[in-house]
Amino acid sequence: MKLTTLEIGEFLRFNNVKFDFTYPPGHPKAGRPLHKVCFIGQSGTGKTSLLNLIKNIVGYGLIESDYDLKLIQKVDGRLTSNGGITKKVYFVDGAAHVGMRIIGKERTIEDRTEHPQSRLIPHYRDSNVLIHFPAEINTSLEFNTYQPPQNLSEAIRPAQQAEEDGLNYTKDQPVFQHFDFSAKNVGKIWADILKEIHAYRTAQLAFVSQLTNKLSQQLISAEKLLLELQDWQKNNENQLIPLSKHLNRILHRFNLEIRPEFEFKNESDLHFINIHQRNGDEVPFHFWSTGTKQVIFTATPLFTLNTDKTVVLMDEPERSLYPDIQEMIIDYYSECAPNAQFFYATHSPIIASSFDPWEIYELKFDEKGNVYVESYLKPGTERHVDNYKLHPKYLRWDSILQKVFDLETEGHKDRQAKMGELARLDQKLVKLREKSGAENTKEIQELWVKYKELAEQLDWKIQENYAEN
Amino acid sequence: MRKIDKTIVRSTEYRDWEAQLEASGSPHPPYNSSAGKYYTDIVMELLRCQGGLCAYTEVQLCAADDLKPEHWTNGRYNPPEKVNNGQLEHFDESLKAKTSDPNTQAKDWLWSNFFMVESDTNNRKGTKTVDPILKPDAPDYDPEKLLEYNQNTGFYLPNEQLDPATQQRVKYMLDVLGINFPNLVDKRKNKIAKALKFGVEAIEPDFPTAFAFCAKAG
Repeated sequence: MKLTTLEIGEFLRFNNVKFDFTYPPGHPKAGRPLHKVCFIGQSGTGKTSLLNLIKNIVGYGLIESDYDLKLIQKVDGRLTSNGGITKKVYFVDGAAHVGMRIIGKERTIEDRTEHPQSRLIPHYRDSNVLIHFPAEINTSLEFNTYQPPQNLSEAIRPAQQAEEDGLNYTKDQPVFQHFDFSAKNVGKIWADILKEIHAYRTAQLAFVSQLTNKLSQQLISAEKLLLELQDWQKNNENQLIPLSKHLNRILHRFNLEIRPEFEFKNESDLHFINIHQRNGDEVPFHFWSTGTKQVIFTATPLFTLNTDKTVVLMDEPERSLYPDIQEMIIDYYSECAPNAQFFYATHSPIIASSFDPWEIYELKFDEKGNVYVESYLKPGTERHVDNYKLHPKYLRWDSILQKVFDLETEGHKDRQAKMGELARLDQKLVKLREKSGAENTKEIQELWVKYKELAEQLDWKIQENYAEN
Repeated sequence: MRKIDKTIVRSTEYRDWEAQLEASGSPHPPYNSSAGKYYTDIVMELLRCQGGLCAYTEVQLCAADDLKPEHWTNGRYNPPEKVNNGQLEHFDESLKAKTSDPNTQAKDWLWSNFFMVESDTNNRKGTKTVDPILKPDAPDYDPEKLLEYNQNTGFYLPNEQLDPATQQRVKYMLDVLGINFPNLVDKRKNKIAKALKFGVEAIEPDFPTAFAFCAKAG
């Protein structure tokens, strides 16, 4: 399910704001849901709230609190019968797309309407609904303390399995697959994500155990054992091979790597990914850097899970990442999940540079403190690929800061003061040269040395025709 | 930043109203953005005085057509206010009721304190204390005596002929009025380079003072 429109009446600081999440006219995919969207804006404009709202819209049925329900009012659309929540669900090329209109603040829990799950369960049979990465991803891996869900509302289950279990889908309970890294215990989520790798490792362990038993009883030779092991590996696909190839593209920059071969040292090795220094020793989990965790915890689910119909929410994708990784991370995530729909919220100009202008929504406060969306269209023009005045992908970093993020200065305030000094030196040189004609006086030479030094500090490009002599 | 002659020519009703307030020593009504009766008259008269340019930065604020005399009848500007990129600015913010010392008379609608300036410049200036040395309509204001323009960097500088204390005052005001703000400096430098290469007709009327400095320097 992909989101195509979102209309917000009054919610937080929003006041009648409409988001069009489709490709604009003139684009080859015009009218289809955007693959990725990026919210930017000052703190407090509501970027994270928007991600949470989308989480509740897309995951309707995953709404857990009365507070969330109060945000949503009226229903219409093919899959719902009586007035309540405005959730228009329609099908384009077999994929459900949702337009959402949130009209007002008031809503009571009694307004809850018939749930479209009966239609959506077949839709999600082989895919997942939602992956949510909050700004602070829960990285606590407490596999041993994981408790199975006590009731259905806690359960996060594949739709197909839920269907097989004969569950009643009309209940307002979460049954779709939904990976939320803001959850208190992400151990179960990781067990789901890495189940194939876990199964492979367990099976390999069992097979090796059998072989070594045979070897100890001298039922097979060492050569035969090796051949059988190689044969087993050939016939059993190790999912960690493609995953490690993919993750190592980034981890190599941290001088780290994932090795697809399984080295069993203790029980925890079964559950999670191990990383090593490149050509060196294993790095225990508690020594992983925050950037390493950020990359592995986000890219692994995106690469491993079926995300063809999935909405992915990611708050602050720049977290703990050095600029060179920020520069490529959005395209990297798109490679991990090429058919998903991403919603990002960022403060990073480098992250913002990965988006076309129709994919960016810049939230701003107006004079009354309400939030509006800044238009990147040329004045008086309509939404069309040819009508955008700003193209973040084409701009230099400093231009993005100034033109997209509205940063007025070009550096620290001390730079401005030093630029004034440079201007004064330049002006003195101009006057002295006028006075001295062709003669390169000692005073000019001394000023020139100072000028060049200051220009270098300021990274000020001296004009080519501004000859030393 | 050129010298501005602010003799009122067209906004005669406002001129008489303001003169009466001043003569009688009556308090000015509080300034509330665009709510004042003569707001549009003041804006359009100022833009005429300033040749459609920002009083400080000299960027263009409105189209020349909006300044034509036929828009005025009986001392009032007739059409609805035209869209412009400026804001009505109080040179000395401390004269406004909101910011002034409660013991002093607020002069929110004082003509001599008004300029039309580019919006961002106005926002950056805020309520900073001003020194009248760079007030563009001051009788003794003379850009040539007070300023120099460095063509390579696009920076305005205090005239080096001035004594150091006066140079400091000018430098302070260049900062307050945002005359050397990075984006503006780039724009000014590029426009001047273009004008020097292709002739002044090739550019819009922005930055006449900087251009005059450069043309004079040869």
